[in-house]
Amino acid sequence: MITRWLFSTNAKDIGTLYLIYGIFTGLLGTAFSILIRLELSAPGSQFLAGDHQLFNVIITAHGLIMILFMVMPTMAGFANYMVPVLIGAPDMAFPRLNNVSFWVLPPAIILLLASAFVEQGAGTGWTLYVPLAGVQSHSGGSVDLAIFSLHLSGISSMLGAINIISTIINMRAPGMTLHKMPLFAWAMLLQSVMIILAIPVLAGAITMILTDRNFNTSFYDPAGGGDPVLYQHLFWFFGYLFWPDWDVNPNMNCAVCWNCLSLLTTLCAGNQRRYKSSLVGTSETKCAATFPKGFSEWLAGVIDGDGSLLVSKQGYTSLEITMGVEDLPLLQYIQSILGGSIKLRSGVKAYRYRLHNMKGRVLQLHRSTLLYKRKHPEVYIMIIPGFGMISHVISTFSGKPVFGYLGMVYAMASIGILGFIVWSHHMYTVGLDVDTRAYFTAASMIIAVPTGIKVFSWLATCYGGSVRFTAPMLFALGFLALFTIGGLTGVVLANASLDVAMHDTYYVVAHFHYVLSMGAVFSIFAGFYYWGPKILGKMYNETLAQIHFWTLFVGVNTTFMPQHFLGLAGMPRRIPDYPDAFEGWNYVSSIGSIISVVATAIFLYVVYDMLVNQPAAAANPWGVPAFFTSTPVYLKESPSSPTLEWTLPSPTPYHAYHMMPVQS
Amino acid sequence: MATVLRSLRSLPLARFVRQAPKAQVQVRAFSLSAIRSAGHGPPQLLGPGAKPGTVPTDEEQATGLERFELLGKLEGVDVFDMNPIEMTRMGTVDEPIPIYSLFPERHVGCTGFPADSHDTIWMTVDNKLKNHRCPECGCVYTLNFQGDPALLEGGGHHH
Repeated sequence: MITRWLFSTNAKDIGTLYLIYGIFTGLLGTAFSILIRLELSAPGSQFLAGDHQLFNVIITAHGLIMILFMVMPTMAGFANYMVPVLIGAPDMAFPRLNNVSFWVLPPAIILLLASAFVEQGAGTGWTLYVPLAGVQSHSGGSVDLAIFSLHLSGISSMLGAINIISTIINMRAPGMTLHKMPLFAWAMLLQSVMIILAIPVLAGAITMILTDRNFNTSFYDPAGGGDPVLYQHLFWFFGYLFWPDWDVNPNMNCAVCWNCLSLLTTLCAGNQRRYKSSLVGTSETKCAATFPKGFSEWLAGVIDGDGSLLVSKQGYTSLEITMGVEDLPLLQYIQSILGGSIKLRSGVKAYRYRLHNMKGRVLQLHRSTLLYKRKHPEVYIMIIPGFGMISHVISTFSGKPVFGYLGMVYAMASIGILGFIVWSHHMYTVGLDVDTRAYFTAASMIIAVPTGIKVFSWLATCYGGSVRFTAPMLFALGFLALFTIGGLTGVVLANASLDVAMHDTYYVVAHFHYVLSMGAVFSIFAGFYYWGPKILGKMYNETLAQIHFWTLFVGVNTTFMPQHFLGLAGMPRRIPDYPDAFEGWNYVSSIGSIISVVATAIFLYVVYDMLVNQPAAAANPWGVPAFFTSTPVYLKESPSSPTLEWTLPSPTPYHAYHMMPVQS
Repeated sequence: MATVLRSLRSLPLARFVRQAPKAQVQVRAFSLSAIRSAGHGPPQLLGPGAKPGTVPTDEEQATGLERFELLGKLEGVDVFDMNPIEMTRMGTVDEPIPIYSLFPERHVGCTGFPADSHDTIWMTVDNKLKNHRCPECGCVYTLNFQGDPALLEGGGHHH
């Protein structure tokens, strides 16, 4: 038993382990999501006894578990099992490495869970933004443990990715050129390349948090010359250090940081040019108390609309607000609080208010801990394998080859590349300048093009086909509809101008759950029902599986559709309480999550039923005779299919290919 | 594979192959023994190695399967045939496309004639039926079995 599983170097065994792990962590993540929804089912303190840190710990665990410990390992499980089979390879390229890839995952989840038991737990949000993840806000070992956990999970992903790339590049069957390779193999290849490019950056970023916390470095601490926004750039991808002139143009990243404006103004008000002291002895708390928060927020809005933060050639920064003569009282009001000067602009009927600040001080504005969507390439790392599986499922159950195979491949590649150049669309509110925001808006919206190619190609695959509405096909069609909705709200959020209003609201939560809960998770279920008979060697109960689909479909939509409304109404995310006005839709949302749990229970029963009661699966349970094939010939022949796995018995033999498959 | 290996032994390759030294009894952890004894190792082919102070060539240095492939190439034998099926004609019932195999079955992907006329259709070409037809284009394939005859009787090498 131990030799078979712990020491296993067989890709199918390791794939099975990944899938079991995915079910376990999926249930864990679901449990956390239920806790979140129960707490939010009504205003006020419901289940967590007012322990808001505990709420933060729960949302952190939910996010990390679902993304890094459920979706990614499950995709890796399908990849381990199916990629060698699909390309006609006997196993992965590095079987022992494969073993290591899996077995670092159980310690990773243990570390993450252990972090919750150390002091107050890691309540940082899954993004681990500093300074919230810094030692001042989270003393003790919990965040350190969470970081170690991410390190391990990153190692697992990278080793797995190396293995998959080597396997696909080197071990395809003779004749299987890249352009004849099944789409799932393509998806895994592209995902693996993305993992190798993205994960080391994340690893570096969180390692710097670790050294900031424990070894007195200050990568992210302005007091030592660091910058918290650097973390956001690294987290949301490789950005900051590669950004042109980032260090000579503070205006590039100077922030209209609402709370911190008071810091700026305190430091420079009335004594701008002679300001010499360091920040020592100055705290944000003190500064925040200097001016009412409402004033700072109002001023931030004014600056965003009519003002600008400038940098002179000498490197001095200044705040300028230009308004029409009729608005002079407003400028005088600002001047009365902050100091600075007002000058009539010659030639135009306007006044300019100017407040000078010393070079570098504007960088202090980065104390924002605004939280936002997802680490960007990570999104596509999660969804691209899903794209591959959905292509297989829709093709099989439409009885047609997938429409536009090459278009599908290149669309996935485009999405993969574009995913790396849009990271700052998570950061519109940290104070990017207008040009940067314009670029990231445009780049983000361009991703809709290859995604649209894929969606329409899937529809074209269905069109004119003899569609069979089996459980995997239902999940695939559900994916298609709901992922598209998530994609559309994504296009909305890609607009910097809109996002300033939507940032950190439930609209964002609704958006990425449509993409992930209904995109990645639906594709995983589609993959499970499609390949489950091949992997387990038993059929599933079609009726139960369809009940599972419809229950989950209703559940997730009931949960997440109302969150759009809540977000548009202004409900912030990651907050355990809300005004009574938000009660109705929150209640509906929580009911929806209970429905999803019922669906999950049905799924578990389907798996049990599959293993215990169901008949053995045929080699190709989805096969139907081709139009020109007579039934006697079809029955006499071994099964044929567009992909290799269905030519093998179910379950796939431990050693699949004695002779390498060959194709023309 | 086994057949090819056997046939290679009869070739005048011995001069390239240094006999592996006789296995010595080594102390090995019990836990490792279980893993070691679980499978078969690759063929033990060792080259002469480089002379001291020189950079070895592939012929001198390569071992195992890589050496096996290299020696095969020196003899003009492509021991790991990695070429696609050559579709020089449409396979018919009278003249099916032969599929070389050392085992009683091999998976074949048909893309029609000429190649790439249709999306790949995979089928299992085995010795149970004489001919196997692609359901898409009707191209006929047959198994060209060159392996150990014992395999046909269900015996032979275990896997």
